[in-house]
Amino acid sequence: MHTRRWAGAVIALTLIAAACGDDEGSSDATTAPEGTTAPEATTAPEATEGETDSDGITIRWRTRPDNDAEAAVYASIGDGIDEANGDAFSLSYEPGNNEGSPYQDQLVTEIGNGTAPDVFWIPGTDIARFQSEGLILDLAPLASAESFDTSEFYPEPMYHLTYDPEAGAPGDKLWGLPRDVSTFALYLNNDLIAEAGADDPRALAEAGEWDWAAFEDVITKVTALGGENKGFAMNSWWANYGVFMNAAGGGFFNEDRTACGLDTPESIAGLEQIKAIYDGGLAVPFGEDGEPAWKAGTVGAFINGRWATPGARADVGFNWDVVELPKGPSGSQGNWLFWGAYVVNANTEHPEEAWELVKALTTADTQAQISELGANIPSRKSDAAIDAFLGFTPPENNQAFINGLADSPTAEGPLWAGSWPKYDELMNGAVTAVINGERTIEDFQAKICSETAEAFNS
Amino acid sequence: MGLRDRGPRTPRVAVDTGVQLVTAWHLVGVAAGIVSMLLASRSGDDALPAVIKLFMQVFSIAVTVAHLAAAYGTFRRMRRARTVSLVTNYLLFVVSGSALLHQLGAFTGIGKFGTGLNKAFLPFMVIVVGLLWVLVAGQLLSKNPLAAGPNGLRRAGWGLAALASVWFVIAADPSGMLSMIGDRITQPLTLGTLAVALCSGAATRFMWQRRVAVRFGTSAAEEQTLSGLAFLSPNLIGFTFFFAGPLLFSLVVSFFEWKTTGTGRSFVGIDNYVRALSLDISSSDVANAGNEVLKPGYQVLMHLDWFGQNWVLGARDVEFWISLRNIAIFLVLAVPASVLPALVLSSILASRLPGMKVFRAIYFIPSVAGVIGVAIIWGQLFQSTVGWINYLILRAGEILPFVDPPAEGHPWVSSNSTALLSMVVVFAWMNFGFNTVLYLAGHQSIPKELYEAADIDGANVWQVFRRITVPQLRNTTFYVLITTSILALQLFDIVWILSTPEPGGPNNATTTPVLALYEEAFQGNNQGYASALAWVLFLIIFGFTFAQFRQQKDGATSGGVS
Repeated sequence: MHTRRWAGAVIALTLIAAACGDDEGSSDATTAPEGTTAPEATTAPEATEGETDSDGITIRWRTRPDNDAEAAVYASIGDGIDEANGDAFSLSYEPGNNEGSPYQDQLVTEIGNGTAPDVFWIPGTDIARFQSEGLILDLAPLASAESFDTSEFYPEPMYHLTYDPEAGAPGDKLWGLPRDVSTFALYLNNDLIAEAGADDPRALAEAGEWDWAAFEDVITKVTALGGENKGFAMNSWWANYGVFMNAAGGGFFNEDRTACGLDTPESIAGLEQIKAIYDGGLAVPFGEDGEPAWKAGTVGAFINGRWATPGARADVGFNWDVVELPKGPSGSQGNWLFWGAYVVNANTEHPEEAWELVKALTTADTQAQISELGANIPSRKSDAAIDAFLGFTPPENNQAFINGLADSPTAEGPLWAGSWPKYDELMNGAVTAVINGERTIEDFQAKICSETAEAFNS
Repeated sequence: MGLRDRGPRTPRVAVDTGVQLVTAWHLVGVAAGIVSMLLASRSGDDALPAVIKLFMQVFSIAVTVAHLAAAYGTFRRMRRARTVSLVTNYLLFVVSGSALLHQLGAFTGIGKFGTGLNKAFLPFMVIVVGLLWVLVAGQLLSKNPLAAGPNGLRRAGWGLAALASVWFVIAADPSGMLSMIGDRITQPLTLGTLAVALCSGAATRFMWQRRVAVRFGTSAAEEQTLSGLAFLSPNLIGFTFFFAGPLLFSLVVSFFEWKTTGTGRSFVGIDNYVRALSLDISSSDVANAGNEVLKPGYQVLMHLDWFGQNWVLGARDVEFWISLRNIAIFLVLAVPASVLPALVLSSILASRLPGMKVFRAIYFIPSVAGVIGVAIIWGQLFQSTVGWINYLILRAGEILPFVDPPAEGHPWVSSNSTALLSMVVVFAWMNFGFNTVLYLAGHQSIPKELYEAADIDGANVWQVFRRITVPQLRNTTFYVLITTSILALQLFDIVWILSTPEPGGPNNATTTPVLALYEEAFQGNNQGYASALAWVLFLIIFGFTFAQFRQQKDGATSGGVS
């Protein structure tokens, strides 16, 4: 019995050892992220911690893809860079969570434990937070050593990525390179709009008549269809109501982003416009996720970014398209320029290799590959990449996103002079209270900047 | 075979020689502990980070003292020395074994196991089938040990499993891991850890022997205590390292301003607790005054109108106080909603009506469903425009003449007035099934004679329920109340999913203490303050549970049931 037990134990250990015997470091022996359809023969390497392959250094990198297909494309891009790179260093790609804040939460935890990847993507609003904590590397010395040209990227993200907190202005810093950009557009249910007898927003935009009045007319007519139908839907995320404030000529901050700008007459005008839409019953209730209702075919126009396109292509069964945002009193759409950047972990042991990877991930060729998937707009002002983006249909009117870019959008930006998460929390609560009728606009205007002052003291 | 007497065996190591070796090993341990202490205390460029340094210093001192005590005791053959030596060596074996596994990449490379298993999944399943054959044959042989068929099945099962094991090894290809182990095992630190693990393991094995116990004059009671501790040790060690340790660590952290990212920490005493619990109240001439009437750093928590005077109540951490208010309301609503239906339902399910077993299973399903999936589905049900709940309400209004249908669907989770109530519904739905099962178990212990007597006395259903079932289930009710209350006070996941994209929304209507501390830790980067909030919550839960225990005890003392 003793012998059998020992033999059993040895066999079990052997099997476990065999099962653990994945040949790490070889890209052909690894698997794609779960649930992805990886392009042929290109699959994501397994995530491993701080390992080195037999040839040298392994750089770990991570993005937050918007869907599994995008994760597979990033994996294949990583493999392509790995292959082109030769023996200099190997890559290990770790796709992050698809949605929600746990991506950053996990990252923060890993940084605290010293197990974060060498290169990772973070949203533009987090750049200041990560920089002020000393979590990301200033790449300026590496970039200037080879005269790296950042002028090909859109200037709005680069403003923040080159921001020098000590000088209080862009300077001789480089916190990363932008992965991609996006703007808002209105996702339209053309069938519902036609049924309501409203004008086609795309035609109105083409004719230069797509403004708040025209927008309100369309959503009013769709709502008048009755039943579950609503003219408009938006999520309760800051960017959605921010569009109206921007389009009215206001904004979240003052000119140099060092103080609250929510109480200006222009910002209040934007807020009044949103409140009028909700008070008029023209929209899916504020706080509800508008996307399921739009996909169910009961909403005329739903505001969202380019990242919603793959979901629309997959799930929508009616005739749909996109149109640029209507122009507000300021003559502008008030659009945002959303962006995120690849940054380098301040504790990386291989900054040069990490920098090489950041550059490789943001080349025009790489961005064109991602653009073909239609999820986001390239962060470089590259015609080839833009063409690849425009060629991805439906939606037919991809130009709406590009028009948003050309309309001087406000860059989704970090708060260098305070805490953006705190500001967002305080602002969002107050705006929600106004829209839901629990607080008057007058009270909001009188107190909001003193209420949010805490964020600038953080 | 295990009980067969193999006859006297010559000890491979004479007891005294073995004890001398163990003593020598402990002296080595003393020396190693001192060296480790000196290395941990070094300053300059090679200095360790403060926390690791402190941990290493404490660990080294503990190792040195334990080894010193064990060495002295074993040298003098003191009675307690065997226990000290065993505990020291056993713990050292666990620590060094874990460190060795870490150095070999066993923990961080656990993903490889899944990958390897995936590659060799088919042979793995064949192994399972072979072992199943062996199992079945064993069952059959236990009834008839000489049956030819089961014997053949057993042999075939072993053979199949053996062949499949070879196939498995070939398919999984362990060369990568063997190469990695080969690389790592030759590193000096790994070799040193391996040596410590082997020596401490061997010393434990030797000192555990009966003849050594006799040599040290260990009493039977001590032997039993050691055996008991040995059996408990996996759980004790796990509890210490993965629960008690982190718990105490979080208590320490709560007295620091401690960044989650590890980028800064400074001792602040009880400031975190003061910040969490600070309130300020001020009178005001106007009805809706703002922060300006409060002390600096305070924000308006609520406005009060007492005796014609306007008051403003402020807090330094408004969100935490709102979360306490929310969780109190949630507790009051969710616990009865989870317990009362379970009590009634269990009384029905305990009856011997046909089909009751099916219903018992059905009602238990929500308890085993994943909370994330459940919350997502409820989120869709609650959707104001395309959700089923509003759809049914609107349709009911069309069909039933006495129901006045609303003009449009109610925004259940996005309205301040019903958001928390929606969470209560989901929580109660998820938990009442499990509580029903607990009550069903309680029903089994109620003497049937009580019901028979009640029947003879002519008691009706309500009287039986009120006078027999409820009092007899008193202990079960107590347990159910305690566990459900603790679950309610720790509410997080349902809110996290249902209130997306603004967890805790709308406008903090569903913020809970756990959500507040999570956001503080991971989005606010304040691990120290988040730990303080966690301890405040712990004290609240502890106080609440303690009060319930006292109430239960008082009830039992005063006669308990009515």
